[in-house]
Amino acid sequence: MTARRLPGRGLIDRSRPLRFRFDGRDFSGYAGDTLASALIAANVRVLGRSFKYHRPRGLWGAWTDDPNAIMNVTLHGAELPNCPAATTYAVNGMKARAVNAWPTAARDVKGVLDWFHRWLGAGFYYKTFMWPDWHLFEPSIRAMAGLGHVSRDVLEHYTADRTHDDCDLLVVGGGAAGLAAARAGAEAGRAVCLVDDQRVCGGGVYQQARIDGATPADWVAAQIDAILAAGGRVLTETTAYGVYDHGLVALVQNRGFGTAPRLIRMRAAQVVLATGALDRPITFAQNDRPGVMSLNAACELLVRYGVLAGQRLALVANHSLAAPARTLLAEAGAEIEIYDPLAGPLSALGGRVTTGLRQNGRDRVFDAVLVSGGQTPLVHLWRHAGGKLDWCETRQAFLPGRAPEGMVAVGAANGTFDLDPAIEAACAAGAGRPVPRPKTHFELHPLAPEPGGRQWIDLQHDVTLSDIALAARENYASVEHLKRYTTLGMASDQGKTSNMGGLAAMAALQGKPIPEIGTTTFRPPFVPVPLELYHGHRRGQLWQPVRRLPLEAEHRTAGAALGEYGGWLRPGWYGAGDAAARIAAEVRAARDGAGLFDASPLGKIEVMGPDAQAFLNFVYYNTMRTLEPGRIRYGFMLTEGGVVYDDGVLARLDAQHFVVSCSSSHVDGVRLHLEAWRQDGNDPDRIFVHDATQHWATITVTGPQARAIVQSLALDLDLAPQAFPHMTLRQTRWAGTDLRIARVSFSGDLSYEISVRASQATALWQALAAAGATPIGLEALSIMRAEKGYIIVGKDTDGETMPQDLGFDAPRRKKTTAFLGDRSLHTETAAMEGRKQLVGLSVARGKPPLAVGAHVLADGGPAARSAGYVTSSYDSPTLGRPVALGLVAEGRSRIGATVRVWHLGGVVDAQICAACVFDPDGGRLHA
Amino acid sequence: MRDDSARWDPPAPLGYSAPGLTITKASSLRQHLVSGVGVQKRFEDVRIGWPDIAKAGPLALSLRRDRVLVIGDVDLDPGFHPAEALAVTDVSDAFAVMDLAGAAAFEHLRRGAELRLDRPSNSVMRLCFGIEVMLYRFADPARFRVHVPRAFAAAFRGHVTAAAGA
Repeated sequence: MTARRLPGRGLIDRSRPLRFRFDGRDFSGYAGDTLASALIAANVRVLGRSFKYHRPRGLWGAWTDDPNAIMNVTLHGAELPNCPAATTYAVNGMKARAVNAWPTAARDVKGVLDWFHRWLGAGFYYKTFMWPDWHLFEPSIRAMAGLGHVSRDVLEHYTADRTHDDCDLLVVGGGAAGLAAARAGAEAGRAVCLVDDQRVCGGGVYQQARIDGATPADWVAAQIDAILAAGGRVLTETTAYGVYDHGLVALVQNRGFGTAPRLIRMRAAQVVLATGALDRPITFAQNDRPGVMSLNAACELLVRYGVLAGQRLALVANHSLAAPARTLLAEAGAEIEIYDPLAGPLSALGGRVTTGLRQNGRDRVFDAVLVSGGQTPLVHLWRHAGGKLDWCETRQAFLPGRAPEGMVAVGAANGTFDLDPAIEAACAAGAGRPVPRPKTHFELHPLAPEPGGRQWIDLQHDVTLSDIALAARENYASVEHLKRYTTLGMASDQGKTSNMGGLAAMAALQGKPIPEIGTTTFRPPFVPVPLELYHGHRRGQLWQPVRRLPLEAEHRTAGAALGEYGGWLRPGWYGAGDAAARIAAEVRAARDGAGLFDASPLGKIEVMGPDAQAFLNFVYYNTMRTLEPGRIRYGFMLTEGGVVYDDGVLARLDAQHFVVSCSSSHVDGVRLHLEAWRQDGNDPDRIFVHDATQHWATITVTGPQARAIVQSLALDLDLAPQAFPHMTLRQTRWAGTDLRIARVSFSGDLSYEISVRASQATALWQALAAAGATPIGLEALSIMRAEKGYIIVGKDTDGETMPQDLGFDAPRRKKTTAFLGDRSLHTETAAMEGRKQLVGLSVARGKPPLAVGAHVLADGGPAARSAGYVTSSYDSPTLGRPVALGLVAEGRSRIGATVRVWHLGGVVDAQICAACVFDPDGGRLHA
Repeated sequence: MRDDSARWDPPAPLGYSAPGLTITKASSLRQHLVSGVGVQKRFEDVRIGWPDIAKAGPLALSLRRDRVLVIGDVDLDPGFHPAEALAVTDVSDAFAVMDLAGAAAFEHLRRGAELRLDRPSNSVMRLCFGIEVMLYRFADPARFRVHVPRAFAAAFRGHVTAAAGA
């Protein structure tokens, strides 16, 4: 007789039978079963295969501690990979298939790999595949690696819900201690939230015969009723998987198979950890065989699912908690034989599954071998929060030590394995009283692994005692090195069962106590969570939303090709068909007549106050204190390192009122930059920074006909060049609304940048278009500015570009006051020869444009070396030939020189020229 | 250089209605950013923080120590006013204003930000769905008014409605 379902036991709903398939065979179960419990009830022993050797694997744990039974599960067309069978509730119609096995877990053809295990020890791939080239082997090794596979079918409605929540007291774990803590907290008037990862609260309490005179089920129900009655909340199927700063706990809530889970970011004033403890494996020969399972798993299978793991059971344990477990199983009808692991080397017998146990030469036949080498408190969340761990010799376990702020551990998680003291301490914790660790009656005889046979430490990743020994011999003795060399604890269970075994083995091998070996870092997530949890509804257009222009409808009507430029959705060009031809036509229209350009994203950051002038003079590289009201000046903002951070114009409206017109994509950055310096080294009560960028839409009219177009608005303004010259600003009104008109140009032609309230932009755009201006997109403007040699910061500059590299030495020489970045312009780096300087690069008429990013090769030397690169490159419709800008070492002193430009293996000749190749005397600009 | 017009839908109207949640666009409001040392005191009578319930009429949303957003027809000229040491900027078109009402409105807003009605704050500034907004209650305990940067108004509305359906 082997594993079977017992009548009348467990928490399953026997009135709701269900059917599912596993590896092509039909099975049945009941509502409340996990896939694992239903399969064990059907006496299925092999539920998976190990990662490396493809060894058969059975169930080790009955919940999150099981590393073995991993399955791809399909339900109603939704296939999810790597579902732990021990925590996946069975649903009628499910189809499960063991991962890493073909055709089935029971008969996996790759099981032959185990024959070669002598050559496949820890780190074998580092040593074996050196010659002729690792990359030769890498693809096939990677193809063999991994567990489940992701379905190619998109789950259309698989979207995680993500929300925020808060409470005074978060209790993690719904076992006896957790329930008691939550009840005490709720009855003390605290806003309590209890989370438990199982569908039915209670933890291991169902292994008790009675508790406070009641059956476990009645006791649990009474606690939950009391919590709810006192205003508390109970969230089942909810796992706390990570703790972050300031009491933030990440909760993942199951919403049923095939439905993406819910992420709850819970902010808790206090967290009580009642996460319990796990059975620790004992290493002995062939301890990985299906049928060797944790003692607690056998007990949980019995009390939660009514499944007896076997009729004839061997119980291998070294501590006092094994006795009540033995009684529980014996009362359920099992025949149990106790084994003392200290009495002699053990060896599991059998082939594909365990059939018995050998000790001191004596073989006995068993259905299953139940193992417990002590209790490992689940302190993962404690460590996430920064709590310390103390080693306890009595319990042979790491226990919570110095507590992180706002967190307390109770129950088995705190090493309190006795029920009554655990409940007493939990009540105190829930009510906010101090919780000293109760004395324990727990007794344990320490075990150290002894060599002999193949002994498994990490069941999923096939890390054996020999691998630990090998790592120690090769000096991967640090626990962090051990982990990475052997992959110990890197399986999907994150070492819940293997870490302590690995530490104990390494300690024994080095002759050191376990605490000297230490632990690896505990990191979230405590349980595997789907990536979708971090994704939620943020997808498609909500993944990284673009900023929308007030004129977007106008642009769409005009047939604009919209694209993302610096975070804004902007017209690249207008009209269908050949994009390059359209763009060229727009350039010609603007150069010959007037272009109409939506420049709304340009920064409009207002700086005001008595110290605004001095502040801006400090923040800008250029002298700004001499700027008169109504005037505009071009300038750079530098970082403290002297690197060009942004360029743009500054307009002065009156003595204490300025407008910073920074680059479109830098508005947020410049605003923060200004705020940072306003508050640091300046008097923030005398300087105020307001970002009004989105209040204004800015429409640029550019080209020789721009004045005539603007005149058509019949403004109360003299537009004559003398009255309204280049780099000045005027304020007026049109159609009952305010206008700010700046005579600045990014095209190199006569231009007016007209800012109008965003709500009035459409009317102004339509009026200017009706007057004959041709809409042009950003691509056309980019060509025009490149013809003029105007830079785009971040495109024509890099992280090292200083103002002198762009030909702007004079402002620094003229400036007499301190400015941001000044000191860095006096460094050796700033003054060194060979700095990359902005220049133009021209190629012969008829040749294609240079590629952006192409390298300008340095002269001389046997090997090609880069002397710079192309930053912008276009086919200029104005000049009828390509134009380009580049950063070239000492480029300005090499004007006229022919250089070789390399790109993807090809080399072309180009000539270094001035950056400005259009209207160099500025006649059109100042028209 | 790529035509992504089809990738981005035209902005949807801000209005939305579903069980437990309605979103309506508030009529155009005059909005002025006002900064100054004593600005909180100056607008004390109409100052709104979190989770205050604002009433119709001039309001001053408290943004930070030295800044409020004044809403309504208040006599404020843009520019710097030396006598009062106040900096004033008209931002009426900078923020779209929408009301979220209904039994589930708060629940949906909490999907985008950590909000607590029992935790007062002097500032109504919040990062909600990754967007810097001003959020307060208006006229009714279950009606939430949000001032969203105009360029992100459609995205904010999209976040709320998509998260509500997740």
